[in-house]
Amino acid sequence: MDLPLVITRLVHIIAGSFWVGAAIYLSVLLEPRIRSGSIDLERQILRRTSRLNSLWITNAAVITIVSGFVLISMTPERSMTDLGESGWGVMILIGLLAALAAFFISGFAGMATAKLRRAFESVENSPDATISPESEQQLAMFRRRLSSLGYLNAVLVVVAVGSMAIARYV
Amino acid sequence: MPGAIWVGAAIFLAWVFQPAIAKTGPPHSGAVIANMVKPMVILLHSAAWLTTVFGVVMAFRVPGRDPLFDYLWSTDWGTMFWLGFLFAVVGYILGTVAGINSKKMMDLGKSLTGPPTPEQSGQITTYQKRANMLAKVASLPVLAAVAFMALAQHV
Repeated sequence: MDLPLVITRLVHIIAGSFWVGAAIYLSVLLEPRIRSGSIDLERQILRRTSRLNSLWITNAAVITIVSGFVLISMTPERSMTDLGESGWGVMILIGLLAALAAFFISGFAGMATAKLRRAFESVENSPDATISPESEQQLAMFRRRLSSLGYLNAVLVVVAVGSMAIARYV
Repeated sequence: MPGAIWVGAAIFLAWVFQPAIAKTGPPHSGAVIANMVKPMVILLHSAAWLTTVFGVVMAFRVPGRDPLFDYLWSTDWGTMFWLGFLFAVVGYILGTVAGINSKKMMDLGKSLTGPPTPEQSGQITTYQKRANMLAKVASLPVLAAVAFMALAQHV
């Protein structure tokens, strides 16, 4: 048994599963549900969870991508030069590009979340603590952006996993 | 794909989201749980069932492992495979029990007409703690199932 290869594979699969599962869970289930609740609830949840979510998901994404590169170079009879060449290489390249795109989209989503959190904080710190029409518009814009980025991220991670999983069969 | 959703969502829920929500305190954590239990249960059960059904179908179609049951009990691959299956089933059962506790907490919260009595508060806290603990425990065999399945082809 090639132990380094097995360990790298395990790390890649576990970190990748966490990334995919968490991204889909967040975009499809959690965020729409939180947004359907009260503004106070949304504010509290964002304050408590947004940084933590970003930290875990970003770390999982980095571990998945780095271990993926290591895995390509460690896999017998495969190398980086195969990327885009054979059927396997094309599928892995598609998966890699989708994963990198998802990683950057996830970063933009993190920025949109931070803006939304700051917008909530500025409302909270305003003298009368009420939401002006402009603030409400701004909040709605950040929410829309966050929602679109979340769905795009989920689609990209699905494409990444799908193409990587079928690579060996094409 | 459903397997990745099952594992990822279970770990995220148990180790990241639930502990963070618990820190927000009863009014907010209760509202989130009440809002989320049903879709969460649907997502995790669907992912678990799809993973199991497709996993079993795939097991019967693995090239060079036919008839499956001969290989299942007599080879290292088979041992890793059925251990993975066993851990997945254990994780699913524990996750279901965690879901039942979350639902009990939600039902109790819904039945309240005014502020909860100390006894009701205690019961809600007990259900929440039990659900959080079981979700954490359930994520471990699910993780072990992934590890065993991933290792199967290397032993």
